[in-house]
Amino acid sequence: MANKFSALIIDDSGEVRIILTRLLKNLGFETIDTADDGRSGVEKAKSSKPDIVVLDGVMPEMDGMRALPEIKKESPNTVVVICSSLTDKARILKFKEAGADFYILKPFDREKIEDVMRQAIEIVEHRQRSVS
Amino acid sequence: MKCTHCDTDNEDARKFCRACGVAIGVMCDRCRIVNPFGDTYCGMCGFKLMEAPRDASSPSDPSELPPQERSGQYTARDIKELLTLRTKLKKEEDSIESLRQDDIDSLFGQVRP
Repeated sequence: MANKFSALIIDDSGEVRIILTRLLKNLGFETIDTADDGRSGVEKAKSSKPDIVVLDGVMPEMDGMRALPEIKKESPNTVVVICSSLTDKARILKFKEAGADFYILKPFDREKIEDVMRQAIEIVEHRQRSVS
Repeated sequence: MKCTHCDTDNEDARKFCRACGVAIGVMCDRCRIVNPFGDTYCGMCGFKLMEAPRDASSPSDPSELPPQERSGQYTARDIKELLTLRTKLKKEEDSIESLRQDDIDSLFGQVRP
């Protein structure tokens, strides 16, 4: 079922970008953009202000921890899903404090991504209703 | 981890084989776990690995050793500093709390509308 939402996938792994793009298409996302590092991802997020960003934690140029505050500063209503292999509690909490809404551990499974994306859509709708 | 040269079993943290001295993997700069050659990211913490040449020589190769060891001139002070550093790193490693997906979901559960 098609939805009106847009998503931006920021991950330095081409394989992950392809898998996530396919999963989000299956969930009906209308607009899906990708970036292969944090810096270009932030630039894309600034210009397109996507409803949902899926953000890798460890990347060259600019990692997820540095990209996240930039994205939230420019687009505070964007729902951010961190997708990372980092398991350290202190670092995960830092992502949460910086505004991440969800955190998915890699390697992830399809059900987990779909479940989180459905929750993310609910949050986007909730925030849009709150604004209007 | 098995040595690719002599097949000897080595502890995971070892960078060089205890039997033949050949490099047996790529040590993660963050968590010090040795990963197999060819891996891009550390299997333990996800940190990007700096790939060492597969034929990296044993610790007896002078180019692999720090200057003090190259000349055989480790001082008591050097050793004390190294032991202090090792203790500090061990404490840091022990203080890292690793989470599973369920734990993380609990941490982030409150964001649901």
